[in-house]
Amino acid sequence: MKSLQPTPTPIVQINTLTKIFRDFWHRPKARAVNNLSLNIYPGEIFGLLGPNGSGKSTTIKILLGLLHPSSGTVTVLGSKPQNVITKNEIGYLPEESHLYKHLTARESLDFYGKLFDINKEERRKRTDELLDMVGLTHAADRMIGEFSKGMARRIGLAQALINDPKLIILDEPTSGLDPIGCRQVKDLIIALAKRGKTILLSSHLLADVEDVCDQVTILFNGSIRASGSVTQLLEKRDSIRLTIPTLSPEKLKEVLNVIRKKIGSEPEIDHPSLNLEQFFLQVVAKANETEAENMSGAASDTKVAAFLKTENQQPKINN
Amino acid sequence: MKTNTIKKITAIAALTIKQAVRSKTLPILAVILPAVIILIVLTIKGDGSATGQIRMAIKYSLGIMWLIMGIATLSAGCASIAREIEDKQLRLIAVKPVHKYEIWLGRWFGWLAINAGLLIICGLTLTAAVHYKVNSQNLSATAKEKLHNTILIGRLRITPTPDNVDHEVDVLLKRLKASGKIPTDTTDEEECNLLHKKLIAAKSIVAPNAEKKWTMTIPKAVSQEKNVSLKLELHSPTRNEKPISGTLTISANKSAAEPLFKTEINQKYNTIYIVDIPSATLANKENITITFKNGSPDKSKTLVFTPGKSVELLITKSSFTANLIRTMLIILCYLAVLSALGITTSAIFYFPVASFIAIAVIMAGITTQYFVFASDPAHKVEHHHHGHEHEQPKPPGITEKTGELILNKLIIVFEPARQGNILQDISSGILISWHDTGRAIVILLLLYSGILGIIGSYILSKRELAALN
Ligand SMILES: Nc1ncnc2c1ncn2[C@@H]1O[C@H](COP(=O)(O)OP(=O)(O)OP(=O)(O)O)[C@@H](O)[C@H]1O
Ligand SMILES: [Mg+2]
Repeated sequence: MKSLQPTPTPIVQINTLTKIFRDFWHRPKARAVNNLSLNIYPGEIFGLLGPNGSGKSTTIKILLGLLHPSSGTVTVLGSKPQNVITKNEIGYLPEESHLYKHLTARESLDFYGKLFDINKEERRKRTDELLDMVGLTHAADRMIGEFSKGMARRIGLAQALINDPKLIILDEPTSGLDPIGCRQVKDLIIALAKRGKTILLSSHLLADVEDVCDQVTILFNGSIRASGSVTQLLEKRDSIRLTIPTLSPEKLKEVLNVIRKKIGSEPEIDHPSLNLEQFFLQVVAKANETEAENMSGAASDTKVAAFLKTENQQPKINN
Repeated sequence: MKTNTIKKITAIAALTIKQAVRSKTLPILAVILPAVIILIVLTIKGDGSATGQIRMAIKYSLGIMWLIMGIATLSAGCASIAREIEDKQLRLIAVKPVHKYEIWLGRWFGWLAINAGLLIICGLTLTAAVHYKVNSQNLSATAKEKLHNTILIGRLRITPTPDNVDHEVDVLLKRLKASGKIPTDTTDEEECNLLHKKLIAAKSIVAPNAEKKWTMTIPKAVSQEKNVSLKLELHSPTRNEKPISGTLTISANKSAAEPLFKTEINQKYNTIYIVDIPSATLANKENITITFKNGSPDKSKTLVFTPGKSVELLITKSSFTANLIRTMLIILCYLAVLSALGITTSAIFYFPVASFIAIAVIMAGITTQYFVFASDPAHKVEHHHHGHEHEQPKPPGITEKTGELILNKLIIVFEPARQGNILQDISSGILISWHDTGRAIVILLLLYSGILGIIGSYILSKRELAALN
């Protein structure tokens, strides 16, 4: 049990964090993060999960000092997010490419390396290795302005690692990547964690999170709806699952009759497939019911915009 | 400064230069500026004379170069940080261990280097173009020599100490007061100013057979110099074709019997008289007195000397090339302030707004110059006396008072930026000294840019760089 071990100091501590975006007249526009508290411990792969607009990126930007909290406290590697020194230990991959268009891939990595005061030889070595790792050695001397979205994203990932950071913050690391790229990034994340890095990643791609994360927090409307380890979350405590080989219909009937007699209610029969996806959908559906109005995120109803007509609803054209 | 600070600043400065090159900004400027300079030098006509042509060529080519570079620098500055915030590249810098002042300085040094490079190209182009122009014109040897002695040179100008008439003003004022001749609506100060002007004007008129004396203080470093000439503007208020004659003497002090230098003048009216003076004349002298005796017997030959302008000593101190280098350095300092202003406004406002604000600040800087003139008390007096028949002036209202207060503050802010008319000087062969250059470096490059840099980096460090999504 965890409580028996000495608790390590968290690398990231968020305490009752709230972020309200305000307009020019200081009127609130959106409550992006609402009373959020969480800790990320060394060596963890921490997944921030949530629908669009649930406050994942906002939380990350606050951790990086790019946004200021409206209330609450944030500590990253023991200091405030604004601290310049601790930035030496952080790597960040933003949601979209924020690279300089007029630099080549190699020059970009070299440039960011200089900002970490890495010496020339080491920069060259790291640049070569990173280019190789993200599979862009062949495009090393092309301008980033010419890169495809996925290529730019790979360079983004490479620059996040140039300083060999302790804490790696990845905002939707697999977005824009092809399936092979996705798989590679996930493997990379696991490999980095094995080397002792702490990783915070945000995603709405459930498979990503399920595949790599130790800890998951599900955000909705800026607050936490569920959190814990993936196995914990997916455990249904009020029921157990008996996994047995598939039976013939007669045998199954017999077994069910015995169970009915013993517990007095109808057992559920399915194939063992409850996964994070189902769980996530349940959580969001529940949250949607309880929430009076959706203050920040995108609505999750699947409605088609009214002006888009289906074929048999075409207005008749008068000749 | 720590080495890693320098490394980060250099990295951002190098990025700035790379971006300027690859966005074609720098290549285009590097072609347009020399082209404009060559075009102006080769085509300008001036007043037709060889010296006039070269003077105009230098003045206008440098002026246009300065204007183009100023606009380019300012707009690049205004776009720099603002666009980086909007395009989000700055977020990736801000999450690295980089201080905001390092970002500011990196951008500023980048443009300082770009401008320095462009100024070198322009300086070489101008020198070559002027050289070509001088040699392609079939000028006589003397005409060429004249060009090299008057325009393509750097000469220190020494002007006379202004006439001190304070005592005479006092005496006159007392006498006028005693006789009750001062209008009741005139204050003592106004009357003083008026008397002052009248006396100075009276002193600048030299009737036939009368004398005019000027005193000059000779800077220590000057007394050993080789090439010294004296320039005298001879103006007559009447149109009289007969020549002016007179005697010009230089003596060690007002009463010395034996002059150091003496020459007879016989010259057309409304011309400039220039005479070379043996270098020994000024050796070890602190003060000299220059005397002009109007020798024309003709009654109509009264001469007028504009106070502070009509006589000067010109002492060769420097070559044209050295003078041009210092001029370029001062221009570089001005450009550095423009880029500092641009970067700082762009650290505070988004892109187009930043440009408007920066331009407004520059406009304020330029226009306060005229306000200084308008609020000059001597100027007010003149107005007042013209309008004796007008109603009494109203006491200033609250708006005027606050206006004046703001104006005074603005003047304090902008006044030190004024460095004299360097384009006028370089194109007239007047020395732009290392002292002037040093002053420009300290005030413009260090003080103004420094203050702007502190403001810009402070605000940048307080801003939410991800406020735009
Ligand atoms: N700079 C901003 N100004 C105003 N509102 C903002 C800003 N950034 C985010 N928001 C709002 O805050 C809420 C959360 O946004 P955030 O970008 O954190 O969502 P997210 O969870 O990252 O979503 P996605 O999955 O789409 O990336 C949204 O309602 C968004 O409109
Ligand atoms: Mg996001």
